[in-house]
Amino acid sequence: MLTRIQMLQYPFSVEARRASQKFARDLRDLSKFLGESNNRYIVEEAGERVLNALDRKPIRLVNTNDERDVLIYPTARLIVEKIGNVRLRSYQAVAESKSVRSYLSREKYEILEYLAESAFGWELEWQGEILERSHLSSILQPFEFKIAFQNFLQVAPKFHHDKWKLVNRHVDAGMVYIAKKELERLISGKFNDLILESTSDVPTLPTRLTEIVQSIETELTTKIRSTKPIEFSDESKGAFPPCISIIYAESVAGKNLSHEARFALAAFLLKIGMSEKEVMGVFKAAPDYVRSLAEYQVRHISSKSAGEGYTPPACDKMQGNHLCPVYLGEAWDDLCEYVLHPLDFYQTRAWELSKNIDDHSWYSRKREKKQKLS
Amino acid sequence: MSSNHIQRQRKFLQLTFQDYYIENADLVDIPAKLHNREFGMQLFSLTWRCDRKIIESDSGEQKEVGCGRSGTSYARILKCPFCDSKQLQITDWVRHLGFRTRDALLHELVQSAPHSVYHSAALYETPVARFMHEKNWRGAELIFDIDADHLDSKCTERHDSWICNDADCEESGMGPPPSDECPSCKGKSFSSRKWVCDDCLQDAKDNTLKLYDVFLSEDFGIDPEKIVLNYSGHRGYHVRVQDSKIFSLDSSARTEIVHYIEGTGFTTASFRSTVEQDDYKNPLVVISEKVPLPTSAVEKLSVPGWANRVSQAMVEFISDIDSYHGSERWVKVLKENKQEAIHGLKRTPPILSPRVKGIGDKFWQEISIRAVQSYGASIDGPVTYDLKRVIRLIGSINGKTGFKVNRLNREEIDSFNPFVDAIAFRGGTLKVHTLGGLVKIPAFKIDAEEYGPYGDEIVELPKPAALFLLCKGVANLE
Repeated sequence: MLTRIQMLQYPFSVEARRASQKFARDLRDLSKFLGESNNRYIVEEAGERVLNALDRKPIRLVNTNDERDVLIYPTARLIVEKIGNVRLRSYQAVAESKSVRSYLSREKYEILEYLAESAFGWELEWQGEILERSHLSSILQPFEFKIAFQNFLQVAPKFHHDKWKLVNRHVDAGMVYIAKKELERLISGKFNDLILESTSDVPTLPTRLTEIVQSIETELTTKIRSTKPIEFSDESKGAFPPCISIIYAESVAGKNLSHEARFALAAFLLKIGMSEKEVMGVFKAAPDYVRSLAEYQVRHISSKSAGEGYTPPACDKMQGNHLCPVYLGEAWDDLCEYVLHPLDFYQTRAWELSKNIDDHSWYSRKREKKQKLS
Repeated sequence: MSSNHIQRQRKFLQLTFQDYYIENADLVDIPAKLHNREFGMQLFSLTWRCDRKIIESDSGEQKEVGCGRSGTSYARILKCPFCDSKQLQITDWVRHLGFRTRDALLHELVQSAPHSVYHSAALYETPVARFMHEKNWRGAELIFDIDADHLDSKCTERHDSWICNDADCEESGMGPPPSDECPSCKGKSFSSRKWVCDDCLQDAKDNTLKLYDVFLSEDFGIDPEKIVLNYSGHRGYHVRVQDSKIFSLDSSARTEIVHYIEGTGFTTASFRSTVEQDDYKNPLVVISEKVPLPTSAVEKLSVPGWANRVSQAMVEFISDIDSYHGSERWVKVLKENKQEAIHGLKRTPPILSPRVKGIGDKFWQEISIRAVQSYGASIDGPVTYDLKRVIRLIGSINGKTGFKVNRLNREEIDSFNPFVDAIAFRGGTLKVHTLGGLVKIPAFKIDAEEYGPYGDEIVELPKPAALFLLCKGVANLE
């Protein structure tokens, strides 16, 4: 169904995966194959591909009319997995999915439908050409496809425009109306997620590939700044997001809080570095405070998953629990629109406080809006 | 109540429940893929453990307490019977249980005769593993909990009550406890008693039917064969979608489903935005006096999902506007022009009447958003989006009432009456001491017979009524 070029454009396609498996069944095979001197061009091109991603440049499509071209993408993935840097992986996911999205925008509907169905197992219905859609209401006519809601929900919750919320979609008998452009975004978004979520055991790499890995690692240190966690102090409370500020104040004042509010507060405070004892102190005023129970619960929250602790709920969950005062229109902070998690808010605001920055106009210049709350 | 009395009562209830499990094994629902489910039980007995640990006294001195022993008890336990340590871990819960066969589960139910029994909506590779990350989550049913507790039913003012916990105050009242402080002593701690009646259970049923008929069947197209309904045995209903295509949905996808059903996050578009954007493929519903609202009554205006329901939602919201407590600027005008607004919305196609002076497109948009929220079904969101929740076993007994957790189908639920159809124990009478206190126990109906209200008194009641009071914790066995 796909042409050779399309196979190179869509590395997640069944055809591309099958073609690479012809040369190498798994990563160990691939590593061995790449160690052969006549396959060196694949290694070099893959290195370039990763560097482009790191520099946020578009991915260059390499087509040498050689069947082995299809191995450049898995090799680029191998390099990134070997380096094991989360941000590099995220840069790669963004670059690769952007490139897929631009190719998809030039494709006919059949290819989109085929890719989504064959590669991801999605259920789609094409609504026909514009004339065939003329019997529909004018509101529905612009939507070229319908997609099963469970497939839509694999990706859409990660997008933050109102129109991606299911409640704002036209849903009929399990199918969601979407426009072709939206399907392009869903497919590339799914590809992005596949890269982010993949886990693999990286085998020993051949020499040249190791050299490339090392040179990219060096580049990384200059291009990706690492940030240190911020230590908790009394002033840190000023960096609390509005949701946590309110719950914290209510807890200290002895107001009876819902289970969800208590959980969010305890998990948040533990994550930003408060000790279990300090967190327990915050709950002391609760009307139904029972020390042993509070101790047990706080310890449970802090000790989940080999001591990493529970992560506090993200913004969407806080909103769903009616715990986000900004969402409810009861409070406002510009920063909220630029984060998706109370911990992200805290980290940014604590950094601002440490640098005495009180002009927040930089958000709109330097950051991307992630949710619309006004 | 004395310690002996507590023990006797707990054992009595356990034996009663045991009889049920011996005689009604066929009523107990065995969840699909039983061996992949985690079970949890709340028992009538307590399990205690006397932890060894170092504690710091008020003077800052460190000392070791605890002997490391453990045991079970039916009575309240305040200190270790072996070493007198007060640092005890006490629980009436057992988690991480797993059963490979139906017989093993039924056997355990008879053996333990638990107060309540739950199982995971999730499927795990190793359900009995102690920690979540070791269980290996392999998907979960999509579950919904519709609980009268979340519905703000008007009847709560009649039958729920609260009392101030300050020993010198003891102020009490009907309805939910004060949200801030005691009107008498300014205290912040209250005990509350929640009751249940035909009215709030009807509200829960209405929401369940809306969830089932409107959202799950019509919008999400779920095959009715794959939807399981049950009465929770107390204040509401559960709905489980057992369709494998939704098992792998993550928490954020389930949050979206919750928001959809609640009408949370509904956003509208202005008329101008449709005209100004060339490539207008925005699904947002346009709310404007210049265009009619979507409706299934006119083919060219029919838009499935929420869009077709907006006008009906607005009709219901505006009809009930007098009980709306919001302080928005449009509330007063809407109250004054209620009939005119409803008249426009009931036309075919529905319109936003320009005759309602003082309300323009922006206000209509705000009204439609409020209306959609109020039309949405009320569900307990965290139950749905938490991938690791446990839910009551169908066919078990709910220890908070002594009622059965009945499996229901779509036809049965219409005529289902929990106070008749969920009665698990019949025959004979029991003498109980009712604990009405300052606020009497509200009247209730069992098997069409009305009982109460009761203060502090000794009464002989038919078994189901007496068990209901004992399980609710408002009476002691005499």
